[in-house]
This record gives sequence, structure tokens and C-alpha cells, in this order.
Amino acid sequence: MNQSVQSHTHNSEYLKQVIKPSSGWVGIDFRELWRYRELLGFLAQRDIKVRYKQSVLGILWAVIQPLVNTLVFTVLFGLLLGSGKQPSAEGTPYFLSTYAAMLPWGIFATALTTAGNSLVANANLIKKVYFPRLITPIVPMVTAMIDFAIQFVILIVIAVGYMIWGGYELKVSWELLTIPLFLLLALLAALGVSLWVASLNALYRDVRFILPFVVQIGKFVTPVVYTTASVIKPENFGDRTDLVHLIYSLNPMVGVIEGFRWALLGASPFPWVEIIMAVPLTLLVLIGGMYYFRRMERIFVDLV
Amino acid sequence: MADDIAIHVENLGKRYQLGQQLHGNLRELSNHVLGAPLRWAKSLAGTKSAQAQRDAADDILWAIRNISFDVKRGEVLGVIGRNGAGKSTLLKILSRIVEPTEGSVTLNGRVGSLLEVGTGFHPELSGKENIFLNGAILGMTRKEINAKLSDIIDFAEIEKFMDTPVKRYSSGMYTRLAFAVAAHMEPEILIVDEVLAVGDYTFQKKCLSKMGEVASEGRTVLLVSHNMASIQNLASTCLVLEEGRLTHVGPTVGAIDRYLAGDQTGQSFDVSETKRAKEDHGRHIRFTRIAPVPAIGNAFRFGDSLEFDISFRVISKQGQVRFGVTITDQADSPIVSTQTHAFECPDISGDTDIVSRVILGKILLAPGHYKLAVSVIEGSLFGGWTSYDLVRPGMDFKVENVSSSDEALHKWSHSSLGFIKAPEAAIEINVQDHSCQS
Repeated sequence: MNQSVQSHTHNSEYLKQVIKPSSGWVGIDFRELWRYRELLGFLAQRDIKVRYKQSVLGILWAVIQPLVNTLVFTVLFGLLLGSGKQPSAEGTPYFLSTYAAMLPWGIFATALTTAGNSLVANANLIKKVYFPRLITPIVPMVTAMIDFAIQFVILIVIAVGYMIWGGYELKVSWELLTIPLFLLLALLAALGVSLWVASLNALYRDVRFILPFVVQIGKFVTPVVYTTASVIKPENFGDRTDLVHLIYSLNPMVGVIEGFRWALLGASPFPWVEIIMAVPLTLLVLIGGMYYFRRMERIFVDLV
Repeated sequence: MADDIAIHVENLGKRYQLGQQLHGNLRELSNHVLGAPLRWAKSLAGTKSAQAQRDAADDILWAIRNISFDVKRGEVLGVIGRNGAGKSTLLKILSRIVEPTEGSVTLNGRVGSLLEVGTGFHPELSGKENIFLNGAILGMTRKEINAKLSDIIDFAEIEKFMDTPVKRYSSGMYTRLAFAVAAHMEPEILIVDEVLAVGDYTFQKKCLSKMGEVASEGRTVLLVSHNMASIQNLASTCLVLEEGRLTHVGPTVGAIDRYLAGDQTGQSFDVSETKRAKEDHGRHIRFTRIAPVPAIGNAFRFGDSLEFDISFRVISKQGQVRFGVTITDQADSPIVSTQTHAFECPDISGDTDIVSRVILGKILLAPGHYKLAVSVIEGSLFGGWTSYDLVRPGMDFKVENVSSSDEALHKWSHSSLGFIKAPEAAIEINVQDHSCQS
């Protein structure tokens, strides 16, 4: 008798879970996501460790790609437009201005591509064990941050190099502290789009072929190898310049990249229009994506 | 819900749509994406929902339906059933991998589910790294894994290779490591699928005893297996699933009988029209049916007396005849033969089936699938004979291992041990004391 009372009190501590069919739109259980944060960490660790296994240059690849990319455009535009006349942020060497944009674009592109395929890539896990499925597209956001950190160090080295040998004046100011905010915006935008892409990818594998293509085009639609001001200007659009600017800013990465240049290089004015467009749009895509993902989640296991 | 109930399942059902083509053509894609607002509007307007339309379709399959049961805390519950009976679906719902279509499950306690060993193992990562990754996937915290790390490594017996990528492991090492992690999960409710079927026998035994420990520690275990011996070893109560329905709940021994009895397929074999090897076979005496007569269902338990009902017709009366019986393997190679004593051919001609029971006795056939070939002959199989009829390849039957005591049969391999287990051999030990001789 005594014992049953004892177990009574003990039992009340048991975690209680109820499994039943969900219907329609389901919310996101943030508390549960938080409980699974360690798994998120382990999966990110796995992806980072595995990525550069058995490669001689290892993590250097994270640096080589944007560097070579920037170099190619510097030379190409230099030949086309004349050295020093490439479309760079005001008072900034083109190489620096472009490399600074390559970083946020790079993490966006990598995060989007990896996260977009994440459900299919982790099919073996999804079929065998439960965890909040939202973790799979979030993992690439974490790994992208690691890449970013390494690339950022190189960016500082390049900037200092320009200061010493190029006579370029790097303005160290409070604006540098806003960089994490733009990074966050880029990751949220990548996550938002990824949630849609990953869900659709489970349904239609066409997405896997479309995605790299879209990312490639996106790089040129976004002011990575040029600046917004160098393209969206009255010479090109006349009276409609402001309208075009507004439409152009629908792409949240425009805000991220111009914001990044503003914070880091301090050359251009703060991109108000871009940021005002980017923030609510990103949140809209993200929240919509989360709900869509949650809705599709229950059939993923039968599709991947 | 009472406090001593760990798992409460109520009216659970999972429906699948057969032939569902989701990744179809462009029109479906656009319907899916662009049609969403329309469907939403329709559902608001109260039009017949897509769900209701789907229900009407006849290409739906209920993998399981109307399943209700309770598992008490500390109980080890076995789930048995044929392939396709819905065991995996039930387990996947309990593990939250698939969502039920109807009904509910209440789980009181931290759940660990083990549908596969080594889930998420990455070949490029070292043994140690995989322990952490796999542990986290199975729901352990970093702290827990750290605390058990040395136990896990000991259990897996691979201390030397902890920093080697698992892609260089032998498959045995790989399995042992995977099991070691799984065996150290400490959930309050453990859900285990047919995972004991891998690994070498000694290691399997180690895992079984580890799982037995788990059960004795008062944790609740839900276990699916085709291995009746391990079910009998571990589970006190069993559920029997048949075609998605729960047909029996009760003590393990009775449930296993029910499970074996549930297999009605091929219980008797109509051979009246089967083509014979020789033209004159079946002209005078012809076999019509062969049916195994096991204690339950179609399967003999290992050690049962092998008995068959053999029906035949006499078309034209003969003299003294006897039956020849050969048990063959699946490939039709003979394993063992015998014959009945000679009897006077009955004088009942025409369409009347004469049923005879042939009792082979306790031939210790190892668990597995066999065929029974029969002949009716004049003379003797071991002298000279003429056969009136011969059915070969014969009727399928099987022998199942349900005894938990006879461990030797747990992993009987036909290829290395043959088909028949002889009675335990006698042994005489002679100690020769050489010192006396000198």
C-alpha cells in the first residue's frame, strides 16, 4: 500500500506525451525545439567534420571559393570598364566591395542549397527516429555561420592589407557592431526560403535541379558583383527609378548585402528602402515557411 | 488514465492511400501549389472536403485500425504478427515517425525508440564521434553520453578503434558499436523493432540479457520480433496483430499459439490436378490432398511429432501398397525418407476420398521451410518398387523454433549444421593417468 502511494508521487513526474492526428495548420513547438538543441549541435558538428574529410586543403576551400570568384570579377570588370571604374561602393576598392558582398551571398546560397536538400539528405534519420523535423533545415544555418566566420577573418586581412598598401581608409565605427544583425537577416531569409524549398523537394524532386540554377541567377540579380546604385539609377530608368528600386528591394538579400557594405565599409548611406522591404518580407516568408513545413511534415516520411 | 499505465493506445488507425502519385506531373504541381488557397476557401465554404472524397475512394488501405491496449509500467510487451500485419506501422506511430489517421496514444514517460541500430552513423566519423551523434539521435544528452562513454566502449569491445573512422570497421564491429550505444539508452519506455536479428550469436545474447536488465529495472518495453524465442524470453504479455487488427492480447505462450494458428495459408494442398512426372502416375491410385496436422496452424513446433493427413482415391484396386514419404528442402533435395508399412489397398473406388494420417514422429527437423513429397508404391523403397503415384515437389510446411530453452536452435544454420538435429549425444570421458603407468 505504502509503495503504491510512493510510486504515485513518482509517476506524476513522468513526461506525458499524447500522439494524435493533427489537422490543418499546426504551430511550432519552440520549447521542444529548444529541448533538441543538443541534437542540432551534433548534426552541425557532423556536417562540418565530414565536409572537409579527406581533402588536402580542408577548410581552406571555404575561403578559396569567394576569393577566386571575386578575383575573376575584378579582372573581368577591370578589362571591360577600366581598372578602378568597376561598380564598387563609394570610395572602396572593387575587390573589397565585392568580397564583402560575396560573404553574405555565399552563406545565403550555401545555407539555402544545403537546407533545401536537407529533408531528402536526412531521409534515413527521418524514417527511423523522431526529432522535430525543423531541425534539419536549421542545421545548415549553423554550419554556414562557421564558414562565414572563417571568411570574415580573411575579409579583415584583406581590408587591413588595403589600408597598409592601398592607402584605403577603413572606418572603424559602431556600425561594425550591426554586422551580426545583417548576418541574422541573411540566415533568416535563407531559412525562410529553405523551408518552402525543402518541403516541395520532398514532394517534387525537380526542386533539386531548379535550386542550383536559381541560386546562380540570384547571384546576378542581387548586387553582389556590382552595387545597387550602379544599376538602379535615373540614367537607366528615368522617372521610374524609385519604383524600380522598390521592386528590386523585394529581394531581401539586396538589403542584406547593401547593409553589410554600409556596416563594414561605411561608404554608402544606410539602405533604408532595402531594409524596410527586406525585414517584413523575410519574416513573412519565414513564418509562412514554418507553417507550410509543419503542415507537410506529417507526410515527409512517406515521401523521402 | 491510471498512473501505472505507461502506454495507453486508443482506437488507433493509420490509413494509406494506395498508388498515391504525389510527385507527378506539372499540372499536379501547380494544382498543389496554386490550388492551396482555393482548397482553403472551399473548406471555409463547407464544400465536401478533400478528406471526405479520399475516404470514398476504394484504393485506401488501413495498415492498422481500431487498435486499443494499455501497457503497464514495467511490463515487457511483445508484438507479433505476420509480415504486413501492421507491426511496423504501430511502432512507427508510437515512435512519432508517422502520424496516426485516427485515435490517440498517450505515453507516460521518456520514450526511446530503436527501430534500427546505428541510425545516423556516419562512415567518415570516428567510433567515438559516432557514439555521441548516435546517442543524441536516440535522445540522450551530452552529459548522459559522457557518463556512459566508457561503459559503451567496453560493451562494444572496440577500445582500440575508438578514433578510427567507422568506415574502416568490420561489419561486426560496426554492429557491436551501434548496439552498445542503443543498449545504454535509459528511457522510461523503450520501443524496439526487430533489431536483434543482426550481430553474432554471443553478442545477441549479450544484448538480450542487457534488455532483460532493462525490463527488470522497471522500465516499460515494447518489443516487435519474428524471433519467437526472444519474445518468449523477454515478453510476459503479447499482442497479436493480423491484417491490421488486434486479434489477441494475453500471456506470451498463448499469444504465440494464436500467432502460429493464424497462419492458415497453404494449410492443405490439393494435388488431384497437379501434373505428375510420369504419365501412368495417378492412373490407378491418385493423391488428392496433403495437409500437415501440426498442433497449431501450418507450422510444426520444433520437436513436435510430424503428422500429415494424406487423401487419395482408388481408381482401380491394387494389392498390397504402402506410402513412401520424403522430406526435401526448398530446393527439392531430399533430406530424409521413410515409408509406411504395407496395407491392403482399400476397395472403395470412384470419387471417394480416403483420408489417411501418416505419423512420422519426432524427426528433429531444424526450424525452417520444407516440402513433403509422397508416393504410393508396391514393394519397398529400400528394395524394389513400382510407384502408382508420386507428388514431387511436394507440399510446403515449416518448422518454427518456439522453445526458449534450447539455445542451440536459436541460430541454427542449415548450411553449416544441416537439417536435422540429432538427440543430444552421450559422452564418456576416460582419464588416462600416465603417472601410474610409469
